[in-house]
Amino acid sequence: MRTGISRLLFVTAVCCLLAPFGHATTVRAMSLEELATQATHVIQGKAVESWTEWTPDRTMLYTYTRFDVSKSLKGTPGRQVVVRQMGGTDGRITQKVFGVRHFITGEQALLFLRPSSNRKGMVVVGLMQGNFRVAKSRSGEWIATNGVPGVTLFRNGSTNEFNGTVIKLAALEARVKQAVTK
Amino acid sequence: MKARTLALLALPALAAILLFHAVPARSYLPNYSGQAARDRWPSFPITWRLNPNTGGNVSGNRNLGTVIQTSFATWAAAPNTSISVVRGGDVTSTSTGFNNENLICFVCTSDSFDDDGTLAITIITTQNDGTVLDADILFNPSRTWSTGGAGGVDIQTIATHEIGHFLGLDHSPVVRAVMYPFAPPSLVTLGYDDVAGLSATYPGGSFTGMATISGTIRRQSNNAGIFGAHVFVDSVSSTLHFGGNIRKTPIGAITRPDGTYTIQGVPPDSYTVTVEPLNGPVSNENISDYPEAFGRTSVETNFTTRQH
Repeated sequence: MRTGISRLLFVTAVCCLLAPFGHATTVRAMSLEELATQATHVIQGKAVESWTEWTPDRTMLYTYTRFDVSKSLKGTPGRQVVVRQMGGTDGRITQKVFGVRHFITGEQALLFLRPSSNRKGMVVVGLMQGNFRVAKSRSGEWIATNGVPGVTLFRNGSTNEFNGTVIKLAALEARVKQAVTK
Repeated sequence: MKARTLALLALPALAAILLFHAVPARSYLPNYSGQAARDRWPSFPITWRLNPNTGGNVSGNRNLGTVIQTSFATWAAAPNTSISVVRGGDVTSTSTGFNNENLICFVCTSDSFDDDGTLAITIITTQNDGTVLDADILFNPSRTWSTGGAGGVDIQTIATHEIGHFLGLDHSPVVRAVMYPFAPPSLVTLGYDDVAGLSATYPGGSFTGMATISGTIRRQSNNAGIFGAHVFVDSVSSTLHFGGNIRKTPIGAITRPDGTYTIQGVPPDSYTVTVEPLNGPVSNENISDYPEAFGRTSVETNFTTRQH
């Protein structure tokens, strides 16, 4: 029977072996800087309302979520933005795109956005990658996470690989501001 | 069957994250084991259709239709399942969503393709009970694709993964499973976790001869069940139960809101059972449907485990 430590080492070794060859099958991992560059707007806000609509030909469902904007790091979004996501439910039919997590009213997020193709609302850059949920940790720090590994972390003037899925909100904001002002 | 005893210690969330962030989540049985919300096709065969048009961004030494057909055949050949698929006539349609076409498309547009961060998506339409009505697989037209022996993203690797979604499977944290969301450049054969997920959804063949491992994950501090804990089982033998075409991987599940889990489709053998937080590299965002199905925004990761 392997010990917990040996298992940890084994799993970490497997991870290290795979890492140089890894790429996402559904998404290409985008750095914060790429997200910031490709976004027209980067905002922080709170989801206050969601609804779902069919396209006129009733083939595609989209979920729209209205956010109260508390801070803008890029662009001039106004006091509210509407974010469009593929999938949703009309109460009878459900449509989903794996990798898309719909917002829940009340949750806070830092979002990298660009206009949707039909200009009806904004969409998240990089599928789910530009959607950072924001929450306070038990130690009182604000933490943001987009669930995507391979994000680089800028600290003390150098860039380091960040293999986790969480980042302090203040650090995230700093990196976005730096990317936007380049 | 031998199982490890696991005691759970509740820790502050940040501490747990710091402790475990480098450890990959390993495996789980995709979709809602034992839940009504599991996505599944109601009958077989499923007919899929290819729009063979490309924007000049597909090259390689194999026929595109053959590559897609081979990818479907990989799943259809999985042991202990009842699925079958049929290739319908090619179409020129670019309409996606709920139109009963089950389209595979390289020239279809999507919100998610306006930036280059997304390679491919699967759109699945279901009734509220999880019955699948339609599924489409869209490959990003702005990416360069390879049918084999050419530069670009390997179509068969991506297609094999997306067809897992087409059949109703969600992402898996097993690093060697096809349904792991971050795959190597080439991975076109199924792992145990893929087979277990598929056979539990569409049981057939010798599925009734497979084993089930179940249990409950609780916090040591208050005995409360943990939602979204990642439980996986590892065979301790070197036996290749499904033959050489199916790669040996752990098989797992994610716990329900009350902390219970059920892992079906397990080949008879001796197993170790392990639990861990689902906090990277596969995390809540990669299995977004799971917490959503229970009216929650995320799984619980503020715990650690201790083996005795």
